[in-house]
Amino acid sequence: MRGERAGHRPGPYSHSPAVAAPLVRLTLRSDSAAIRRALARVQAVLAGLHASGDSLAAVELVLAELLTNIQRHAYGGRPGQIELDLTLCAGEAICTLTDRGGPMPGGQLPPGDPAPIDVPMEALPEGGFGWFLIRSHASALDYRREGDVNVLTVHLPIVLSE
Amino acid sequence: MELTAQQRGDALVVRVEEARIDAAVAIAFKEAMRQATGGPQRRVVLDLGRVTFLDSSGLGAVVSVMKHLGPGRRLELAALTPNVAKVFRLTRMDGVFTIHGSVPDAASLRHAG
Repeated sequence: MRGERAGHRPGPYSHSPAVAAPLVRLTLRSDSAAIRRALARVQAVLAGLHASGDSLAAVELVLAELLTNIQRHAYGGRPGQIELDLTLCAGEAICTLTDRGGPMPGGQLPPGDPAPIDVPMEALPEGGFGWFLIRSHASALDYRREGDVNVLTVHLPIVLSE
Repeated sequence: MELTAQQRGDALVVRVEEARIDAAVAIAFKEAMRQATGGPQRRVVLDLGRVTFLDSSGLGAVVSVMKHLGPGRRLELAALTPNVAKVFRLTRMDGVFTIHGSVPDAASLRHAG
């Protein structure tokens, strides 16, 4: 995107001082091995802050879905780079993912309707669970196209134990 | 994708020996399961006790394995860890599969189903 960010944008919580400095900021290739490493890095950092098991699981699942979606759909399996920026603010992990792949269809995030399962076994869906799982966990989701860049921000509740 | 298959009672118990069924290994998992379940057993129990992470690709792969077994054969799940169980619950796939808290012993897998 535009190189280093000049300062921080105000967070969604006007009462909070400023968005904390990024906990994790990394650039990864859009391939499965790099995605696994990035997820492990985020888990290690949040575990070091004593994030609860449920919080860790939700962050890992949602980031896995979002990163895989960028790899498969925005980049269509082609090589590309993804920037991941994670902060904590007001009981939430706020993660911004940036890529230079294709835009979301229609310029919007998919609705993430639950996949239909009240169907005969042979008609059960083998996909279409990802956005549903993302939306099940996220407290906020924002997507925008800036030039040829996708910027997606997800907020996830984080419980830190003392 | 490392799996261990063992005949137990009348069922085939397939244990996933890895911690993750995710987008990186979903295809390998499906292929390994097709090889492991090539025999005649009508009942296959997938032991997920070691799996701590399952994403939507992994879930899709498990559904695919069940469909590939075809009519007359059953895929059951066992020993789901909490995070994996939650993915099945949220997507309501816990109502599609028979899910055992732990891997059933040989006696209960004999002449059942």
